[in-house]
Amino acid sequence: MTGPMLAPWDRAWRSRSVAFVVVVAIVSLAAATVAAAIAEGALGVADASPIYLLAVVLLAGIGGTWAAVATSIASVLVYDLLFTDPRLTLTVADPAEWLSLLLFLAVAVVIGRMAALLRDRAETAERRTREAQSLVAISRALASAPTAAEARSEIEWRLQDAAEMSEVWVNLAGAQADAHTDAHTFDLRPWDLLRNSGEDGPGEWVRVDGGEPARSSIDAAEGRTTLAAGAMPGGACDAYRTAIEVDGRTVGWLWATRELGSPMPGRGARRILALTADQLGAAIHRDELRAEATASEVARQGDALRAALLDSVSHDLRTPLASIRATSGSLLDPAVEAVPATVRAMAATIDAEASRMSELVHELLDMSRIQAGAVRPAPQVFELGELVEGVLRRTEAVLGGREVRVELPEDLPPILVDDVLFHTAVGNVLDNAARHTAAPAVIRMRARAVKDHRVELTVEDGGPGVPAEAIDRLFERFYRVIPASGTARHGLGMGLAIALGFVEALGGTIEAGHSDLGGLAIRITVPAALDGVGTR
Amino acid sequence: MSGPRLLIVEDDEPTRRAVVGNLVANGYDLQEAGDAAEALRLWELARPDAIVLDLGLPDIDGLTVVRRVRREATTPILILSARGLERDKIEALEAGADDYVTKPFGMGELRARIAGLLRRAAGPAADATGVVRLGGVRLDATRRLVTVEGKVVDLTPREYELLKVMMSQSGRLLTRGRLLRAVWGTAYADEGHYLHVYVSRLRRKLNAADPSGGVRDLIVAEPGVGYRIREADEVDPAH
Repeated sequence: MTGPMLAPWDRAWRSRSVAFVVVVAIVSLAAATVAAAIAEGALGVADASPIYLLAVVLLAGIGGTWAAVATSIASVLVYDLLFTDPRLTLTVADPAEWLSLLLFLAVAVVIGRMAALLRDRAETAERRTREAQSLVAISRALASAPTAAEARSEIEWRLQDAAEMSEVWVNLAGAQADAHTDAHTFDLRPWDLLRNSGEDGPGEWVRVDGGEPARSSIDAAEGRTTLAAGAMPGGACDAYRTAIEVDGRTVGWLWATRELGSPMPGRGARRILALTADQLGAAIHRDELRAEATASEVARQGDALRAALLDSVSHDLRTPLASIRATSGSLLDPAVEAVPATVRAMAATIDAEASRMSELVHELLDMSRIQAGAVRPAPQVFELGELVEGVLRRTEAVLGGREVRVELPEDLPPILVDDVLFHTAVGNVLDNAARHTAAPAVIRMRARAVKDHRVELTVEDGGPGVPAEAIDRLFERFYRVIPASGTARHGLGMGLAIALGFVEALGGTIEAGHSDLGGLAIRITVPAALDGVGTR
Repeated sequence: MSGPRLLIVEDDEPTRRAVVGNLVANGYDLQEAGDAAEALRLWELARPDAIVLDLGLPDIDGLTVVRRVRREATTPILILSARGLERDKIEALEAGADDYVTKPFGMGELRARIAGLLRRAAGPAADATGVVRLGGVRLDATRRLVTVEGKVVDLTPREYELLKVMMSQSGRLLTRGRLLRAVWGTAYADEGHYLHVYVSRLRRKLNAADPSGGVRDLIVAEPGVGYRIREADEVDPAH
């Protein structure tokens, strides 16, 4: 496809003004006359008048039927004047010559008309092809752009070319424009209706009084303008506007302008504009449906998540409850012999299962606080070492006999955190590391000051690690990496999700990677406290 | 000879029965109340050595009981509550409670906390010569001198004050506000920043004086609430 600009010759050829046709007619008649003179004079041809038929055919091609007929008549007159006796008068001496001239005129008109018809047909075919190509390109642009609004600029320049308008733009109202704009005007105003386009589509040919036309809001938002090609002089213009409709609602207008006093765009151009407006309407409708579908998909996923929560929670809460009831039921059963050692062992089971349930309930409450947006951190200045020690003391039971290497530099700046959230977040990360690290493997906690006035704490383990594809999902709720050994007991899969929620509430970051110890490395950064706090 | 007399105020019957059974078996003399009115009646009547109090009572809020008791006596009060948020704990402690155990709880922990509170209440924190001993730490109030396992620890005046306030109230859960007011004065009651950094330094100095780690767990942080001094043998006091 060609761009929006046309070569001057192309432009003249396409517009084919009357002056242009007249010039071509005179030149070709002159050439035909010279050729006829040579043929009759030098070559001795009796009647060279058919040479003029060439001029007629040429003019039919350029100017159509009327140019062909006019050229035919002119040819007869010129031939009569120059080649028929008596010369230089319109009088014809020989009646047979009269007959010959009339015959020539009839043949010329018929041939000219046929040539003009052929030309029209060829032009129609060419125009249809161009229209089709433009429409295909516009459809493709609409189909490939994420939203109709984003295809606008391509549609605009293509239409400008295809419909031969000085400028074309799309104005979208309502939801399409609201997303991008504040208070940009939607239409050109004021204007006078010049003509309705009738059966060619929902368009109007209107006159716009002065002033810069209101540019589409989206262009303004993107800081881009398509005004450059065939710019409006800022004065009045005539414009063809076509409504863009979705389900009978007008959601915007397709504007196409020409200089003041220009003719209304032809049928073809109007048809392209109307079809484009239809396609825009369809695309906007598609955008709206997609937005609805996205909303319902989000809702559906929310449901799926709730279902997963229910499944997971009911299973994980029921398991310890089942164990507690079975054990206490045995204790109650008079048939079971109450040997003190057995009773104590059963009590230990109940105690362990109950504390496990207690942890699960705690996790659920933490998670629901995060989801409800009810986490309100109260940051204070702490030394990381102190907090880490507290976390280690609290996770002693989970850590069992595992070695935890704590490597904190002496000169680490104090950090600004809510200690409750920090304890839980780091505790959950340690808990996760302990769960996935068999006893002889080591867990390491390291810290360092990093850029942007932050402190980074890394918890690494020498466990088997997690597969690369699992790394990105570790912080999802209910996500669990099932260990190869298939350990019977696992958490709700919320520990790291809670850690993420709490660390983010602290204004920190958390990410997972591979550790050179072999297992997982979780990096947490939190804000460092400003210098000078706590020195008084 | 009967053991320490406890008043337990708890409206949930199974919990109360389990706690009473356990404490009686561990040598305590128990009185039970299922609501605040009964609790206050028993308090007037028997003047127990310590109170274990649930906050969510059917008639009036447990906090009211705390304030009523505090008007007349310093009897240790341990809150036993399902309200686990830090602000609930702080509110109860500021109202006059001495410690806070969140439901669900382990019996061993509850006994340890009760024992810690009774020990503090049993006698003056400092002996006649103004010396407080806690684990390996010895604080001589008359000479403003702190030693750990016989070694002198060089503390700044603030650090010394902080340690003194904590040691004289061992077993209690001291809120940040209470510590700040005691050491820095009321103007600093909201400046928790100083507190944590000072506690860190204090702990570091004490630990450095005892490489065996004997005083490592002397000061225990209760996240979001404050600090508690606990003696090494508090973990299992009933035996």
